[in-house]
Amino acid sequence: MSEKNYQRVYIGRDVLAEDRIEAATQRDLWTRQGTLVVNLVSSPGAGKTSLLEATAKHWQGRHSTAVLVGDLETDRDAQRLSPWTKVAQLTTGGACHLQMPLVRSGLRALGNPRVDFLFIENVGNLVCPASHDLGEHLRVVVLSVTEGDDKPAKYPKMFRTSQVMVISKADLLPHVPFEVDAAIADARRTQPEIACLTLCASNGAGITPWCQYLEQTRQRMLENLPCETT
Amino acid sequence: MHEQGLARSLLREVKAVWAQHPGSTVSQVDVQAGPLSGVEPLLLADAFARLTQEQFGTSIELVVHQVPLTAICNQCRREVTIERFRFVCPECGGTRLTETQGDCLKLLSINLAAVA
Ligand SMILES: Nc1nc2c(ncn2[C@@H]2O[C@H](COP(=O)(O)OP(=O)(O)OP(=O)(O)O)[C@@H](O)[C@H]2O)c(=O)[nH]1
Ligand SMILES: [Mg+2]
Ligand SMILES: [Zn+2]
Repeated sequence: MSEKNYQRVYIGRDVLAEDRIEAATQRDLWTRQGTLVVNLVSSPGAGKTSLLEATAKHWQGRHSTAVLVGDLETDRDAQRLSPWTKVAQLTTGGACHLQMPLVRSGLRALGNPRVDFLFIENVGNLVCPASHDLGEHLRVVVLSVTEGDDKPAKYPKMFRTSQVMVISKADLLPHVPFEVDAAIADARRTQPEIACLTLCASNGAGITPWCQYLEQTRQRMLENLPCETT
Repeated sequence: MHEQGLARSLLREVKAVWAQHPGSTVSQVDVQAGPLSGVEPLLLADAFARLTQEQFGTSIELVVHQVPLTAICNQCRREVTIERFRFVCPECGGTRLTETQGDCLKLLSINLAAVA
């Protein structure tokens, strides 16, 4: 027994380290099965589901896709997507972001499909989803032009942790004070490597380049795979 | 809202350490947070106090040490401080930087006291 009645134990570990490792393991698994996983984040109503509808329609018969869509309540987004893709609704109750166990249960509900592209539509929220790696290859932040071009500067963590920024609802640009270049400049201050795409899910403008971007990213992922010995 | 989840994750880590030291109580927990941790220090300390009060009938003090954001430049390999989330190396202009501090919630230490 020590004389001291007081002791300090040093740890020095990220509290979410286990989650990070779990996400990395999952990412590795998806890479090896050839599934490119995209985590879509945005504020509520930025147009995530509309973008996914347009994407799934665009790829009909060309690529297999699945969508896990998170919302606090209702399966409305899943219903919108179901004509075009495999889809499971994840209802989070009160939770403002998705976490790995929900993603896993959604995948099980779909029978763990092997698809070319898996999209995870996160809960509309520019804050909390930024702190949760879901094992995705790409985090895509959707910013609609009606939200204002100052959002990349106001939500640094979300933009810092994203690889792609999609500026959505471009058809509304003539009606709102939104400077595309200013939004991109702010996003690139926080994340210089971020890829930026401007599009409109309603009229389809920019959907083809978006889909090509995803196809190229998946192609690069497949090419970097270690050769399987037969 | 996020702070509650973090407080729970933190308490889980604390309990794991505590379990290895029978006959002691936890008197204080120290963590490190920074501008990209996604943590509001006051809210986290409050969430942790409530959670421990609920579970042990007495709250454990959480001390949050705030640190600046730092990163290592992948081009010149220098470690630099990131001001106002501007991720460009002030030394060489490099744009590929990897965070080294201030982007996560880190459990630093746990103070244990012998049960009287
Ligand atoms: N004008 C215009 N409206 C759009 C466009 N894309 C989506 N919308 C509208 O914006 C609203 C929200 O779109 P959703 O696709 O449901 O947005 P969301 O991000 O999935 O919303 P949550 O899941 O609730 O966060 C709907 O009324 C859409 O019709 C667009 O390109 N142009
Ligand atoms: Mg939606
Ligand atoms: Zn540098």
